[in-house]
Amino acid sequence: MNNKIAIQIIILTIIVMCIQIFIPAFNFYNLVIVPDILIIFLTYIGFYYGRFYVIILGFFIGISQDFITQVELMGAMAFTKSAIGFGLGTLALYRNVWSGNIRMFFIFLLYNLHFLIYYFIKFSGVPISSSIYIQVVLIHSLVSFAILFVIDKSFFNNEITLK
Amino acid sequence: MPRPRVPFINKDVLTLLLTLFLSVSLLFTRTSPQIRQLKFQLSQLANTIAYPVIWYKEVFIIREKNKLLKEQLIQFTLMNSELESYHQENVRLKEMLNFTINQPLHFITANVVNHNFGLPTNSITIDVGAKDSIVKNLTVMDENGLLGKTIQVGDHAALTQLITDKNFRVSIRIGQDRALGLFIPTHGKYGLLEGVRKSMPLTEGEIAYTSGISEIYPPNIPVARVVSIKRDENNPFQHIVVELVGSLENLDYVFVIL
Repeated sequence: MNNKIAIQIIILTIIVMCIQIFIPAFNFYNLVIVPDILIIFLTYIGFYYGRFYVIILGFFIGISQDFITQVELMGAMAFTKSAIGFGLGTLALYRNVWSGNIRMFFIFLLYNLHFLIYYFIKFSGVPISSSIYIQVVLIHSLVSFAILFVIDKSFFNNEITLK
Repeated sequence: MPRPRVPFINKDVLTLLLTLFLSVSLLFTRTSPQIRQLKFQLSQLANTIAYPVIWYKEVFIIREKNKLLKEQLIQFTLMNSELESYHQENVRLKEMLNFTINQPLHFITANVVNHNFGLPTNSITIDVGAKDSIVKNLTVMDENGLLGKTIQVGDHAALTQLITDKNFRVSIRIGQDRALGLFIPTHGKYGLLEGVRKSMPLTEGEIAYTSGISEIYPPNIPVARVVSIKRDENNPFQHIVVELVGSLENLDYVFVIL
């Protein structure tokens, strides 16, 4: 990755973070859920540039997200986004090996893992049933995955999901 | 010559470990309830994982303790055999001195069925009588100490004069020298010890026991605890105020010594 691309990615990151601020939220069991488009951005970075860059970018995006939205849990998003960054970077290694379906399944699993860890930290010490916890994780993952699907179809010509 | 490479330890893994370490460090600097709970859960998990190690260490500690206990057991066995020989010697000496052996107390348990505080005699009625081998003038006590004696016996009930009754008297022994005295009730749970000579050293909190002189009460039953002591120059005896050790409030069960 040369400097020009690096600067482009940084600018793109800032733009995506700004968009993330204006993403509408919805309510589920009185829990405010905001679809995470930063994770979608990380998916593309992982797919095109590999593990190293996506882990670092994931960490800085996570830290920024923590700093803006949840100072009391500072580090939670950084942790989850770095961890799944490693997984998303794997997409680049198997770009020409995995079929679209396997890739989609893998990405969905990673999204689930991301929200599983995140909500596990967030709900620690909060009296909430396991069923609601699983539902929230699934819904959040599904929403993010659906957005990825739409974006991929609209702007990337099914680069990740079908080819 | 190329340096040998360690498999799986590459730039990506190192970056991941570094970022994870930084994130966790940041996360654990927080003091929010979620993080505190998370720390607690992690410590429990660590405890569970470390359990076999702790168990393994404890096995060694138990082995050490077992060794020590075995040594102590040998010492106690030797001491016990020594004590046994002293006991045999004591029995023999008592026989030589014509001492009678104190038999352990035999008692029956009785329910208190009536409190007669209004009558001239401060008394209670218990649900055991002549059919239960109860006779007149038997000692009545609770688990703490003396309560009174039986004064009238029916077939299935007995009237018991309480220690708080004005006419109640009991001979006692107190102090290291086991000085003789007489317990006299005054009011409530308080009473006086009469006849304890002034030279007898006593302290507050000491317990007076039945002397065994009387035919009614067996020896060494706790009667009262010393509350205050006064020594008057003109009086050869101490003025000792005591309180009863037997519990007279909420009497439910008593023991009658046969």
